[in-house]
Amino acid sequence: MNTKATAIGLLAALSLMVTACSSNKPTDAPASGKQVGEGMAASPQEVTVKIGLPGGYDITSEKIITNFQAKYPHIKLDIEETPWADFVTKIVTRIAGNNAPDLWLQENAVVLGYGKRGVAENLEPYITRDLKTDEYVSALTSAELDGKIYGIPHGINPGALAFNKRIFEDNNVPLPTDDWTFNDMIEAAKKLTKDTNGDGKPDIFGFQTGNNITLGWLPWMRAYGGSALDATLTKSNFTDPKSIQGLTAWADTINKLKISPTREAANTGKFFENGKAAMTFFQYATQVSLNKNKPDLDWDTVMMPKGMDGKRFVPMVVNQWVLYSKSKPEVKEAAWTFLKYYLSDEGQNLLSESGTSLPVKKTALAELEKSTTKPLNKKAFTKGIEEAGGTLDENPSWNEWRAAAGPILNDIMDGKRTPEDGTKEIQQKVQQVLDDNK
Amino acid sequence: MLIPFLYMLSTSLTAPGSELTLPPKLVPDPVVWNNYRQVWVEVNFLQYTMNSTFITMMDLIGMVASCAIVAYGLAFFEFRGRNLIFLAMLGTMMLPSQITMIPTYFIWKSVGALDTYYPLILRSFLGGAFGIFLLHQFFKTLPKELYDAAWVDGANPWKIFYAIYLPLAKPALSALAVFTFISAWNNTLEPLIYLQDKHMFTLPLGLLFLKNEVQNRMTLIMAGAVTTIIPVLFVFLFAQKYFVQGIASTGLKG
Amino acid sequence: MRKQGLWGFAFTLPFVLQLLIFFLFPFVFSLYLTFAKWDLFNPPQWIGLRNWDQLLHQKVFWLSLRNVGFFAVLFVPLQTMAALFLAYLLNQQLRGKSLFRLVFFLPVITPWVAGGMIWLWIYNNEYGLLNWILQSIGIQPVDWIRSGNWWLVIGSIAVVNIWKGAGYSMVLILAGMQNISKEMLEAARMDGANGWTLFSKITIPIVSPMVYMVMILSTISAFHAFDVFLVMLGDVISVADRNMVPNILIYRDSFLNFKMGSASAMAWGLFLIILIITIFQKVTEKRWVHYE
Repeated sequence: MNTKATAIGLLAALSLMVTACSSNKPTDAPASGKQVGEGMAASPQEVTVKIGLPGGYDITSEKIITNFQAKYPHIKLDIEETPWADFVTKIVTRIAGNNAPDLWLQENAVVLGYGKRGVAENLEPYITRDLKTDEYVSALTSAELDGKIYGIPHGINPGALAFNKRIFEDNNVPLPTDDWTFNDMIEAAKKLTKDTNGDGKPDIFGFQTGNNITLGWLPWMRAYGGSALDATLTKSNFTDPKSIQGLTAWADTINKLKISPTREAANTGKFFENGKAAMTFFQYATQVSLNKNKPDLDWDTVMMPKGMDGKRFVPMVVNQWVLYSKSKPEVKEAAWTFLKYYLSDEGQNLLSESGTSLPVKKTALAELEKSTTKPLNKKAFTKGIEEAGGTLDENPSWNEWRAAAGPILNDIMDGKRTPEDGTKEIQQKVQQVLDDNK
Repeated sequence: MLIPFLYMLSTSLTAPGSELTLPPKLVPDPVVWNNYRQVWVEVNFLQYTMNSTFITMMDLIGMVASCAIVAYGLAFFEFRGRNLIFLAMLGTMMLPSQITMIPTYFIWKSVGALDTYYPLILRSFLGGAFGIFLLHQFFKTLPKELYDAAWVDGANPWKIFYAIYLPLAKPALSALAVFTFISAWNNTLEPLIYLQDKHMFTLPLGLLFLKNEVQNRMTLIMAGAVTTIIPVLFVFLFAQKYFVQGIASTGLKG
Repeated sequence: MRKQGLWGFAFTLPFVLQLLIFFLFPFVFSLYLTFAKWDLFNPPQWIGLRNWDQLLHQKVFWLSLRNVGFFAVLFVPLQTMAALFLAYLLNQQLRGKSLFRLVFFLPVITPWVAGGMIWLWIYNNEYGLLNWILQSIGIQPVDWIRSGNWWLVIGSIAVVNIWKGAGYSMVLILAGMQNISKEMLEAARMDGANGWTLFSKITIPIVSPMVYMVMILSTISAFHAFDVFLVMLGDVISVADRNMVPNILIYRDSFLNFKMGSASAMAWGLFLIILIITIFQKVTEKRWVHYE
């Protein structure tokens, strides 16, 4: 290789690097309240808003898009569909390339992180200007960090207790109610666990214990008065005796009481779906596939059971619409117009219809309660979030500390480590992550 | 060896909801063809297959041609920087793609080639480490006497390449063709990152839409997988005639 | 080796362009990032050796190197031997050999979703095939993939990877075997050489350049193992430290935690290790690889 070519190549590379980096500065600071007001007055001029849709129209109803287009012809929505599981790779690359869509649907996991880094626009001024917040449930502002709001809920995906009516009736066990506590649930599960073919292993389980944060360990920690992080979300709370108690009860359902299939079996088993588990914590969106695959299963839901102290915790996953901070002001305004439509009665009712998540508007929630699809008792979700909805100790480093805790929690669930021993390591690791990200 | 393949076939013929049982069932009961129809309808199948075929063919032609030329140059000639190029070639395989992906995106963005097929095709025409390595190793096993004889006869290196060595390299060329076909045909990463317009999507990228937050439609995914494998099977069966037909049949050496 | 250097340069020019246009910048850029902090949005900040210092003190990175090293030590020789054996067998005058070739090649093209399901079932603790066999001959079941012993987990995964990769290497070696002429084998047979002698004295030297390549390629791919670990162990955030491999850490830091600096340092650390191994393989090449 001759030296000239090397030199030219190096130069080209360096200049590329310089442009790549320098163009990475935010072009305009997040709009303050006043600037937001000015964009409004402009006469309707053609604006194109690029929208990133992970999961395509299966997740975001196509009707919302087409109806909006009919209403606001001067705002063109340029839809980019991306497979759900690979959206992270794509959006991260595009943000790094200074080339993100103007508005996209983002999993709850990193919304606050995006806010902290400046990727996501602070929507608080827009909300104060244009929305009557008492028309919405509190989840509307769930992407809040230090008084700033970095997203508008795409929908709420809360948990509830789902139960198989037939298994209860066959065993003459009274059906669950909204007043149940975790103890009631465990007691019923003991009665419902059966070895029907006499091979010494149960094949109908009373309960199926979850292994993730949403339906697994966090609700159990909360039920016993514990939590993953403290109230400031800067200190790990795993070694709190109440947290340990919760994790112990959680792991005991598998290892001691044997009322739940193991994590390994549950991975492939689909116990509740196949009528092999009487109860499970159930996320709202799961109804879509359950109704499609097992239309004959006789099941319903009640609210998440109450904890030991009588308090209820309803875990919610709230995915958000994120507005790109580097979009042009008029595009931001147009995107906000879309979000306002999304939050209107029409938009929210269309969202309800899709069944993938709950709306945040109270009128739409009330409308949904009348729905007759399974689960019939939608109030388990709608009233659940109103009474006790809570997000999952989310903070800007949520993904990272969750990754630090997750594998050890799996070991606890598998009975490989005691909660006392495991949480010591979790505490140290999670705290490390929290401190590193201060 | 065969069980996962049969399992895939079986799941693709199972009614949604009764898949993934333990132990795995290898004979679906009842046999349901609907998954295939549904994949055909839901995924823009014809369009995506055509897109994928175009990209794969371009990659195939570009990769086989460029690798053969470069490998010939590395295997038969001595020049300054030759060892460096060889090492750099191996080096390109050693840095994880997670790290090189974003800077590569910058490059394509800087020339305005996002949302086109260029990022998926163009690089194949400049050779790739695997193909060059493969053909280089193969050329090295061929007798050098042929080169000298032809040179003495007055043939230039280019002529020696395509008249003598290229035909002899059939086994390696067909192996490279099979592997290039497989990797281009199944590639999802570059199409995912570089394509925006849904009409330009490739088949494997389109099939990824069968899985999302609310549903993991395994029976459809398997049906999609079976349909993408079929062309690969044909390519393999067709090409294997060639990669077991080298000097042994021409009887050059010995 | 010919001396027409200009011709050589002309022939290799396409790849030189490839290197200059598409590899130089990512290499330089990622190397620069190993000394910087970059959240993939705001401009990178130079922080000197902090990433490297952190890397050297990060226990999980060392664990991941141990694991991937062990993985390579199992995977590379076993896979190469399996591929060599299969290629030799299927290069014989065998009835239905093209069908067999296809069968052994199938895992290469079977997607991980299907392969993963079956292997998870084989290794399943309660319902798995392997433990069912063990129990039926009176041996205690083993917790393969969920074991607390890292070497058992890594070893089990290496077997899966051999299943997936042997057919690939088999085709490469098979192609190399076509240079063995029948006349040569006939002549040797006349001299009274038996099967093993034919294999070790004639076949091995002739395919050695291909075997050498298979070893280099599988070493690199072993150190980059990613898919097979995720298929067997769950998603990127549920892999335990004791079972970690570098590429999962790199993916996590870059795409989930937005710490491109430390991800780049890990990637370059891994790069240097692979480079040293490859150079070692290249140095020892002359001792056993036979070129014309």
